[in-house]
Amino acid sequence: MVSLRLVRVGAACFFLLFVVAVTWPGMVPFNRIRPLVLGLPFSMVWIALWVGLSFVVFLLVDRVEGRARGTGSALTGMDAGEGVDGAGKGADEADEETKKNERPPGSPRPGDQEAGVEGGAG
Amino acid sequence: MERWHGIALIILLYLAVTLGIGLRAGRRASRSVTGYVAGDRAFGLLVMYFIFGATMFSAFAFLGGPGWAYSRGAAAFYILSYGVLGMAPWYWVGPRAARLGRAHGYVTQAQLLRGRFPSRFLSVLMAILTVLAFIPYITLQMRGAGIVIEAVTDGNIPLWLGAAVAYGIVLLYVLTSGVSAVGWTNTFQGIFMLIIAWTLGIYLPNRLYGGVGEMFRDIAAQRPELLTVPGLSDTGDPWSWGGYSTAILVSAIGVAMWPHLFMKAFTAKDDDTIRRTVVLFPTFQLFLIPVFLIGFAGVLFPESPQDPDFILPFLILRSQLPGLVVGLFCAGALSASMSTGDALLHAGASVAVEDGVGLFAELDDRQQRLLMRGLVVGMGALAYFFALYEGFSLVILLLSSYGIIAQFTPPIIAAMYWRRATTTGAIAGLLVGSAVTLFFFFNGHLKPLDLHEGILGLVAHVPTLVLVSLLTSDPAPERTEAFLRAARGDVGEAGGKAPA
Repeated sequence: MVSLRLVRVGAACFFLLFVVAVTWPGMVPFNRIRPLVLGLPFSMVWIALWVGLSFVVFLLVDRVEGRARGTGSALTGMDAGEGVDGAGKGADEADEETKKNERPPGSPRPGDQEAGVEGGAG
Repeated sequence: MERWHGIALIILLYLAVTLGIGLRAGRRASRSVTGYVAGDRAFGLLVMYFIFGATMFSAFAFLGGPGWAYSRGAAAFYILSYGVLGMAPWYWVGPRAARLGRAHGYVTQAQLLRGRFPSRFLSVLMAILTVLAFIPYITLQMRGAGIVIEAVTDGNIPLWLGAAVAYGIVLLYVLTSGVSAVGWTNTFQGIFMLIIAWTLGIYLPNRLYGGVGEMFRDIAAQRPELLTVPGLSDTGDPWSWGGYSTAILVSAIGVAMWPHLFMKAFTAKDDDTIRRTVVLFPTFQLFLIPVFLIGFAGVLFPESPQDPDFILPFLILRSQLPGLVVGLFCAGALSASMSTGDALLHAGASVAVEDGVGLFAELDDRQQRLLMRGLVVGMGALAYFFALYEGFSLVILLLSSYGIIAQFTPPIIAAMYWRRATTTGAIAGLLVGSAVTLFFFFNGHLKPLDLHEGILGLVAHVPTLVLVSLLTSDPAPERTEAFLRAARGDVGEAGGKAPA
């Protein structure tokens, strides 16, 4: 199973790359008219390509995050892992990641006491 | 029957359908303030998706997008670049904000901030900045509606009447139904815009050039400077890389901070609805491609309109399209204008009441709703007044308001994620950031590398926020703990309450 941390770091890297790729100087080598792709200038296709890739990246992120939340993908509601109500293995992993990252594990889980976690990290 | 009669009929039909949907929606929401502002927190995915899409693609995207592609070429690609970048963090930030909203009953951005940084000054400052940023934005949408109607009816329905009718309808459904009307009409208008944009984006290049590829081959031969980034500036000279790149950055940082968009996090049915909206967002963003095609189709057209923003109606009227298509286009552009305008009016009035007036006067639920409606009418009237007078440089004002709105990002993120942030730090940061942004807005020639003034503001803002926060201390650490716990979703311990 791909870990939550890996996916988050990966997504962050992807969007940083996206920023670089569509601004100066990352855009410069791809800033050309030809080849025309589907009739469109390459500069426009290059940016649209990153937008399209973002969709793919988010499908992946959503799958892994959903499994970690134990509620499944937000998009399809599928792939909920072993536990239906957040008791699954994925949710435990999410908690560990939260302790490291101070990031929200996702949807509310009543009764899940982690009062000391953030205090310790600060 | 003259041609424009048929067109006017289609527009009327469209407006009637919009009004019908808007009024019907109101029957479902409850009569409390929460119902009016946050739609009882029960929007489904379809509605959320189109609210985000339709409110982001305002009249600016529908008229300004083709206008930019037509007059400034690849400069317009910045619009395609920033949307997804701006939305991406909201997969994580959005649910956090929504949890806080549910735990404490927040309906506006400043209420969320006040829950962590209890300062009336901060709240009122945000309310003032919000309303200031909204007025030129609403004015622009109204002018857009009026211009389109005037253009396609051969001037038989003048700008003042077209804008008045379109926004009269917006007022009617916003006043009676609040945000649920905004949601349902935006869904309808969003679908409508998508269809019209793709149809025209494919049709016009084919009709005028014989195909999309042929069109770009012709432009590449005659005006190659239009097809590579950063395109041209508003004066027609080449635009700078600094200006282009920071336009993307400031828009990406600011876009989700527009209060009418941010507040949608509080209206979502559940966290998954927000996540899904973010995941699907890139699919909506690609809708800008046909919008650009429409603009590029005008580049080699022998005649030119008096203002680049007119390129779309201009082309349509000269390509001998049937009246039905012209009427549908007009409705599409109207829907773009109205779906943004209604959200802006609604959000502006909510913010002014909740974060401004409401802090200084005890108002019961009924009085709040009444005041909110008064403000909707007031803001609409003020914007209408400006819309009738040309000569105000609205586009410049709008671009600058993006710089101001982007200054909301650091305090909001700090409130939800950074334990050490203090009230003094947040206020100092916001003041310094806004001041620097305004300074460079009024002294554009001093901007280094042509960087956007909002980015320069952030460069001063963030260190100020961090430094002042580290130098001051939090008077009520338990409150902060409770707030951060609520943000994480530990509902059992969500104790801290926002001061009234």
